[in-house]
Amino acid sequence: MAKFLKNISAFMLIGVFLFIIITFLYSKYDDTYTFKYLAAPNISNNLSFNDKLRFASQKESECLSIGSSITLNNLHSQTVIDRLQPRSYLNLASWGLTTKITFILFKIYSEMHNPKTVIVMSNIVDYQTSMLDFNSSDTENYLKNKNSFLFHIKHFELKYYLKNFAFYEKVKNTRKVYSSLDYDDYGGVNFDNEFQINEKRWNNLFSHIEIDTLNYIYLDSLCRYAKNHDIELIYLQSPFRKGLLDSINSPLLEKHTKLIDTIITKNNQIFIDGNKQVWNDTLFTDAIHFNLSGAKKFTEFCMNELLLNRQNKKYNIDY
Amino acid sequence: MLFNSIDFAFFLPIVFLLYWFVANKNLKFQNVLLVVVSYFFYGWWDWRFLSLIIFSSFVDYFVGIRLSKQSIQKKRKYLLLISIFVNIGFLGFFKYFNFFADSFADAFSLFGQPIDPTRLNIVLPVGISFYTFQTLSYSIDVFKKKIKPTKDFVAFFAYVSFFPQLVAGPIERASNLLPQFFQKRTFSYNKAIDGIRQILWGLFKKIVIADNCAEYTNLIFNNYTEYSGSTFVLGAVFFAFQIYGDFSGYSDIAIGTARLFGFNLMQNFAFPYFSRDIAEFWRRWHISLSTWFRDYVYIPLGGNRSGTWTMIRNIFIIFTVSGFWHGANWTFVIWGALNAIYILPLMLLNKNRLNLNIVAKGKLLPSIKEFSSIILTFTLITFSWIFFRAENVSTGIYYISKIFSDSLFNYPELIPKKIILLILIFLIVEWLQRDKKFALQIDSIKIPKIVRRSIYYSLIFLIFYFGETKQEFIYFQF
Repeated sequence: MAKFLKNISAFMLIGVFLFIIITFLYSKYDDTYTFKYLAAPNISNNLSFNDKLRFASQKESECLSIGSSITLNNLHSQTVIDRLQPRSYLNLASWGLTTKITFILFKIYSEMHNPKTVIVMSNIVDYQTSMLDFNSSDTENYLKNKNSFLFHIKHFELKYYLKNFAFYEKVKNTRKVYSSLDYDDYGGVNFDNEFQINEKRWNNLFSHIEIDTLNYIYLDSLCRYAKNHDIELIYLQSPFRKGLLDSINSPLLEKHTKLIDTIITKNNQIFIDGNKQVWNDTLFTDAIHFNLSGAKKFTEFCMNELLLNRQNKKYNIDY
Repeated sequence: MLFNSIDFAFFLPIVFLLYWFVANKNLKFQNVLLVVVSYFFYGWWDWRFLSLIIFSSFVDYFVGIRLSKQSIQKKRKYLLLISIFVNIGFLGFFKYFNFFADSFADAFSLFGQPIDPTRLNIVLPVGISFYTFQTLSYSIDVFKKKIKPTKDFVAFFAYVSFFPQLVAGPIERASNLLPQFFQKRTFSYNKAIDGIRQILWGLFKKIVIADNCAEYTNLIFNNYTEYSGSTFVLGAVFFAFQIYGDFSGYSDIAIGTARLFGFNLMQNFAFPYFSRDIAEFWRRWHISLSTWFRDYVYIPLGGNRSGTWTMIRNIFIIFTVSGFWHGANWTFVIWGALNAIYILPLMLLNKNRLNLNIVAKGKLLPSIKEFSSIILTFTLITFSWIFFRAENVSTGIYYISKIFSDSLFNYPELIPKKIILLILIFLIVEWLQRDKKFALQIDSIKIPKIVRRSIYYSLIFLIFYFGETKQEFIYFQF
C-alpha cells in the first residue's frame, strides 16, 4: 500500500509541478506578446472581452470608448482623434457586452484612467440579457495588478489556450470576419469594405429581441456616475441599415430611443441618435455593423453632432 | 454520481482511504462501508430511488433464504415468482408503463377507436435494468441450486448495490461476485495499478472518443433532413464509436474501480469491433448481458437443442427482448430483430462458433479474408445502430433511405478530421492490444518508466483537453 500511495502521489505531484511551470511561463509571457497568438487570460467566457482586458491593462488614456461590438466596430478611431483631438484615446469595447456590463467596466476604467470623455456607441441589441460569465473583482484585479501568479493559477486553462491558438491567429490577422480582433492602434476594429457578408446576420430583424429592463437602470447609473465624476458621456445610438427600416419593430425602437434619450439628457449628458438619418446598405456588413466606410461616415456624423451640441451648450473640453 | 465528474474524483480517493485504512481490520466493517458508500453514490443522483434497491435487495435476500429451506417444488416456484414479479414489476412500471399505454392507444386508433392513454409522469430510476437483472439472477441460481443462498445480510446488500457496477453493469452473477464479499481482501499493488490504468483508459474512451463522436452524431441525427447520404454514413459510424467508447469506457472504469477495492468483475467488452462475424460480436459485446440472456432466457426456452423452429423462435425472443431491455421504444425492438436476422444464418448453418480465438493472433495485420469479415461485420452492426440511435422508427427508416439515395456519393458536409484521426489512433491501439483485457494493459510490455508515464500524462492531457462537454453515459438511461 505504501508503495502504491507513494507512486500515485509522485505521479500527481509531477502533474501539479508541470501545471505550475506552464502557468508560470504563461504569466511571464502574457505581457510581452512573445507568443503573439496566445489567448488572453481566461477571465470570462468571451474571448474578445478577455483580449480587450489585456489590451486595456497595458495602456492609459483620457478619452475612452466603452461598449459592445457596436462601439468596437462602428466607431472610427482616427475620426474621433481628428475631431475631438484628445491627448490620448482608447477603444476598450468588446463583443457581447450589454449596458449592464458596460456600466461595470465604465466604473473600473474610470478609476484607472481618470478620463475626461467617454464615448459609448450602442444599439437596442445591447439591452438584452447578458450572456457574459465573468467576475468583476477578478477583472478589476487583472486590470490593476495583472502579473499576479495566483491570478493566473486561478484562471489557467491549457485547453482554452491551445484551442484558441488557431482561432486567435485568424482573428488577429483579418478584418474580414465578424470575430476580428485585429485592432487599430487605439483598440478599434473596422471591418474591411470587401467583407464576406453572412446572409442571416444581414437580414436579422431582431424580431425576437427580449429587452432586459434592468439595462435602463444601469444606463441611468452610468450617466449619474459620469455626472458625479465630471466625465463627459457621449452616448451614440448606432442605426439599422436602410433595407431593414421598414421591417423592424418601430414601436419598440421608438420607445427605447425615447427612454434612453430621457435618461441621458436628464443627467446632462449627450445623446446622439444615428437613426435620425438613413444609412445606406452599402455601408454595412450586417443589420447593425458598419464596414470601414460606414464607420468613418457614421463617426463623422456623430462628431459633427457632438461639436454642434457642445457649441450650443457653449463649452469645450480642454484635453 | 457520474464517473466522469469532479464529485467522483473526490468520492473515490476518500472511499479508498476509508476502506483500506479505517475499515481494513474487519471484513464485515468493509462490507458495511461498501453498502453505505454505494447508497451514497446512488443517492447523489436521487436518494428517493434508494428505496427501490433496498426493497429489491430485501425481497431477493428473503426469497433466497426461503428457497433453501423449502423442498416442495411448487412452493419453491411461487417463491421464485415473487422475486420475478417484484423485479420485473419495478422494471415494467418505471420503464415500460408509458410505452405500453401509448402502444395500446396507437393500436386502438388503428382500428378507428382513438383513446386517450393514461400516462404517468415518472422518472426512470438510474440503473434499474442492471440491478434488477443482477438480483434476479441470484434468485434463479438459488432456485436452480447452482449457488447456496447467503445468510449474510450485509454481504448480500453489498453485492446488489456495489457502487462501481451499480448503475450500468457489468451485470454480475452471484456465483462470481457474491463469494468475493466473504473473502478477506488484501491490497495488491499490481492489481490496484492495473485498476487505475483501466480507469484511465475508460475515461479516455468516454471523454475523448465517445463524447467527441457524440457531438457529431447528435448534430447529424438531430438534423437528419439537412445532410446527404454520405454524411449519414459518417453519422452512423460516429455513433458506433460513441456507443462503444461510452459503454465500454464505463465498464472499464467500473472494473478498474472494483480492482482498487480488491474485487474482480467480469470482462464486459472484448474488442467487439474486431469480430469476424455477428456471433463473435455478440460474444464480445456487453458480455454480461448477452450471457445473462443466454443463461436465463435462451437455454431455459430450449436453446438450439429442441429443433430448428424452436431455435429460430428463441433467437428472435432473446434479441427482441434484449432490444426491449435497452429502452421502451420500437426502435430498440427493431435493432434486436435485425441482429437476430444477422445471426440466424450462422446458427442454422452451425457456423456460429467458427471464430472463437483472437483475430490474427500473433500477427501484426489480419489476412485479407479476416479484414473483409471484420469490415462486413462492422458494417452490419453499424447499420443496426441506426435504429438504436433514431428517435423513432420513421426517423430510422428515413435515415436509411437517405443513405441509399444518390446523395450517398456526395462529398460529406461534415468531415471532422480531428475526430477521425482520434478514432484511427484509438483503433490502432486497441488492435495492438486485442489479446489483453483492455488496451492500456501495458504492464507486460517492456518499456522504460518514463515512456510509460508519458503515455499516462498524454492520456490525462487528452482527457482534460477534450473534457469540454460532459455527456451522461448512454447506458444510464437503460
